Amino acid sequence: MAIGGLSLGLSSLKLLGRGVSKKIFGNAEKLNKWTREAAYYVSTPRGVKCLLCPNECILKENETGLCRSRTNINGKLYTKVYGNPCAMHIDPVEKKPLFHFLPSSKAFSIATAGCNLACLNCQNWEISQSGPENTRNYDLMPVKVVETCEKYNCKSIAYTYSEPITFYEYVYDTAKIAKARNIKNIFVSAGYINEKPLRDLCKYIDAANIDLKSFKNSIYENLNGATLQPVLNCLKILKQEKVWLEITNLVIPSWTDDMDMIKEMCDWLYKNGFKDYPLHFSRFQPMYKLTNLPPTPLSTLEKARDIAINAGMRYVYIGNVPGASYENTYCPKCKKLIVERRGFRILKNNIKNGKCKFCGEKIPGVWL
Amino acid sequence: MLRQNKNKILISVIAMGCSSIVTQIIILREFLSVFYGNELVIGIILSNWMLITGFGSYFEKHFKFSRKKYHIIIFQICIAVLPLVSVFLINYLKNIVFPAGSMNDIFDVFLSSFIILLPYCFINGMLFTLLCDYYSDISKSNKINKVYSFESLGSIVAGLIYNLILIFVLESFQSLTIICIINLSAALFLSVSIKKNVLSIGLIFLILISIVSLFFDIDKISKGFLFSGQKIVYRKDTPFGNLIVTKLDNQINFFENGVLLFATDNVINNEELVHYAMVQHKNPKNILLISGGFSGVFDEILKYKIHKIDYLEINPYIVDAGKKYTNFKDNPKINIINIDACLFLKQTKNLYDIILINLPEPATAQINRYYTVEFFKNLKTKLSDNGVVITGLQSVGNYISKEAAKNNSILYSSVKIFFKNILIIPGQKNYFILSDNNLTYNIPGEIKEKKITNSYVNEFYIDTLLLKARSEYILSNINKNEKQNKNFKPVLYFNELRYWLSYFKENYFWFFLMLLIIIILAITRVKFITLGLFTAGFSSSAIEIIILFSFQVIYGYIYQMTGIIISIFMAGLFLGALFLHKYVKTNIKNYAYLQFSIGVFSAVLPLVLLVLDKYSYDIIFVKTIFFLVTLIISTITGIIFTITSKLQKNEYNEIAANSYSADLFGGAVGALLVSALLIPLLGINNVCIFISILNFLIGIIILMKRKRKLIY
Repeated sequence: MAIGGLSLGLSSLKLLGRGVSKKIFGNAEKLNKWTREAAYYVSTPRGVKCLLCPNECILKENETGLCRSRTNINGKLYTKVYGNPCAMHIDPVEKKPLFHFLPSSKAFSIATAGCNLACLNCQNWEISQSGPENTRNYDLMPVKVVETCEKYNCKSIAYTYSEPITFYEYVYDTAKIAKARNIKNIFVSAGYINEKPLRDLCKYIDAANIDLKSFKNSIYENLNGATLQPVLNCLKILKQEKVWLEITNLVIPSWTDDMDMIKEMCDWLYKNGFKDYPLHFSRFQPMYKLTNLPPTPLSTLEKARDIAINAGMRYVYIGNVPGASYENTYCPKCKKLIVERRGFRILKNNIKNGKCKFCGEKIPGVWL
Repeated sequence: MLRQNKNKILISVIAMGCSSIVTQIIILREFLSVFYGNELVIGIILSNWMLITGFGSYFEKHFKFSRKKYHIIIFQICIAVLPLVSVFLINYLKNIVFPAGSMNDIFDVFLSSFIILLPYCFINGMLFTLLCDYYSDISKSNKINKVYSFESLGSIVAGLIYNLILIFVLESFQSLTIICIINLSAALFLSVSIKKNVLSIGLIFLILISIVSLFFDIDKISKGFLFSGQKIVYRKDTPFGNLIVTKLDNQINFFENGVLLFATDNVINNEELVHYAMVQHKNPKNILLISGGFSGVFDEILKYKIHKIDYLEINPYIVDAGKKYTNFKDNPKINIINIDACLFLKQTKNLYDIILINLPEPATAQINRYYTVEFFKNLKTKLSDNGVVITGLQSVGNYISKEAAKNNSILYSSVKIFFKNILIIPGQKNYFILSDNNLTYNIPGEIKEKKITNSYVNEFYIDTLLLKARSEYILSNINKNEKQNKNFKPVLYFNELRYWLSYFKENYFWFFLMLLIIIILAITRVKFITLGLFTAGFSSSAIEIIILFSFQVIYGYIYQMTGIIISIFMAGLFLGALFLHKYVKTNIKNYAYLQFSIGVFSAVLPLVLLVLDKYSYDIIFVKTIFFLVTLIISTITGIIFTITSKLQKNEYNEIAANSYSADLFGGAVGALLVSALLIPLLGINNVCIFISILNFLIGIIILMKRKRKLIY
């Protein structure tokens, strides 16, 4: 039934993409259907100051922020991507990656153009390093997003691929509607956001995967065009607001493969009470501008995992390395295999009512 | 005494020629291994080279050197030592100036190659003018053509020796050190002759140091900076590029010209390439694998009950290193053939059930050849009835941009005429699966049925419905009537270039502005009489690029031939400048006629290429004609150079400066414009016609000006 619905839905999804993208190629006019006044900004003598993310761009008339999606028009700050995604797909939730959140379910995933970071290795650079004028977009207002998600029998909506912080207002409104209709909301982000907007959004967000890109400020500056501290704050806030959280760390040779740094990161996570939140070490593939580096060796990822486990992290996974047992969940108490995963499928699930079937240990997460 | 003195100067000239060619080849190669090696980048570096050398030779006249011989010695020492310093700096500075492992935009390429080349090329240019001046002085007549031709002679000799011998036995730094010793020795001869004892002793000392340094592995140190964090286990300057194998933890990585070819343990890539294609065939027996076998692809193919794998790997050094450093196991079913795939497909009589094309993006003209209509036409004839082909483009991920959609559209249009069914499967690449037989999306189902155990390509990781949805998303963005990619009109390569440029989101206005400035500068600064030489420089460098490009399209591969063709080109310059000009009277009318002859030559060239393409199987015929064509155009250029220099009545250094710089400025514009813009945009034939018209126009202008007696 679910599969039938999916395949039926997919054909209309294609139609939507084809039909609409031709019609609305590039939305150049200043104010249009997809502009909305931004939620967080103040006027200053030097222009409007965006308060959404730590970049805190000050924008003069007609200037667009570093995220490429917020513009000062007539002294007001507008988001230009409301209801205007450039990518939408159905993905397994494990791909986000979320391993302790509705396993094996499908997430209806959307993204708009723009990002407040500028990572040299961005996988989605064609949309993240572009503004909405340069991408081919769909017309999909929040209600429609939720309806489409329901139509495909997806359990959740994932705001992902580029950076949902930059389409905050769109996420907020969509998530609100979705929550009312019992659809979960997943926030896949680099976590470079200010406290107030994040806390406001947490009311509607069920799960987040935050990319903790490294544990050194200088690397954040040179590799990502951001800083470390706001991301750490984001992790703490998500935890306080009781949003289900999983953390991803991409291990890039010669950039973020320093084991001492990884140890420092794991110690921080442990000390700050993140030991029960899954940590995913992910394999780097040469991408975008970072093409002269090799992929991460498996042995490096294994070392990182061992460090994390020794530091007290209880659920550590390795991503982008198929076929091995790195995706399985083991009970931290009785050490037995409790969730056997392979790819996007669950082969065995020994969690009953959120607890290990063998020893009764509570396994944190949002289980079906 | 005078004769002896003259001979010593000629030794200096030849040594300079040796240095120019070898340094150019090695520096270009080094730049390619730190920058992205497409033709635009090559064009920028080459035109910087010619531009700066041109400036050097042009500005020499402003310095008014009084102690000419002494300055010749100093400059010669500089050009001896600077190449070594430059090459070291290229490797050393890359990861210091730019983020580690990152790709640079063309502005970075332009600026850094300009800065690195500046000292060497500028001094090289100045030295040329100074040598012309001094040699003409002591000969008491205009001997610029002789210096020009002896410089070419040095280049021919060194170019041939380097390409045929040195490249196989020596490392880059060793080759440069030998060139350094030759130039230091030339400087020593001169220094002894003017009794500069302290300088001579210093030079002897320098030569000794250079000889000793031959026994140290400087390449290892300098490459160590480029691959910091990785352990270099194998290093070889092969005729196909600089091959480096590194070890990072337990993983082995193969780099060619700085580009990652493959890394071991890359299960996803290997499985996708092999199984996406092989499950589509009921009973695959004969497999052809084009490139990239040592990453672990063989193991995947051998999961099927096959008869044999013919593996084409053009670079035998990859095979050597692959056998040594990967867990490759010899298997009687695997037959490794060191040959270019285009050439192989023309020659073989075998039929294959599966053809796996594991090549990089068509981001260079060289690789573009494996993505053309002509290539697929040929390939189709080697495919058995239900045969399946797999090739790929860069993955489009979650969103297909305009540029990416166009790339996929071009490839689609280029293959659809030969295959009834085409599937596009998104993965680590955008895989194109081609066959006349029916194709299925149900790859996990087929894997299960064939009882093949995979880590990734299986029902756990691949959801047929989601795969189909993503595939249809790509298909819905494809324009099935897009232009086709052809050998002589490589639109896919050009679009890949635009796609690459879109990485940097820059405004390329400045780039075209710079080109315009060069052209305006050239036309206004260059005296009228040298305008013809500018055009000749432009045309000959453009035609040289066309010849190299066509040769690789028609014949197959090119690497070693590049050196030989360049050497033949130099030989033509030498012949034309030194001997053949004697048969052409030095007057304006003949000068114009020579321009016309380039015009005629360019107009006929497309016809010649057409004939060669038809008889491409006859290798000796193809090579002979290519060599002949190269010799003709370079000889004409050589004659024009001499006539231009003889037509001018001025100080020797003035004449030399004007002529040499005009020639080089023309070459600089030609190198950049033709390789990066004109060939991909217009196609080979139209570029030839463009060059032809240009030369006729300039010829007519020269004749008209002659009638109005505006010359002199």
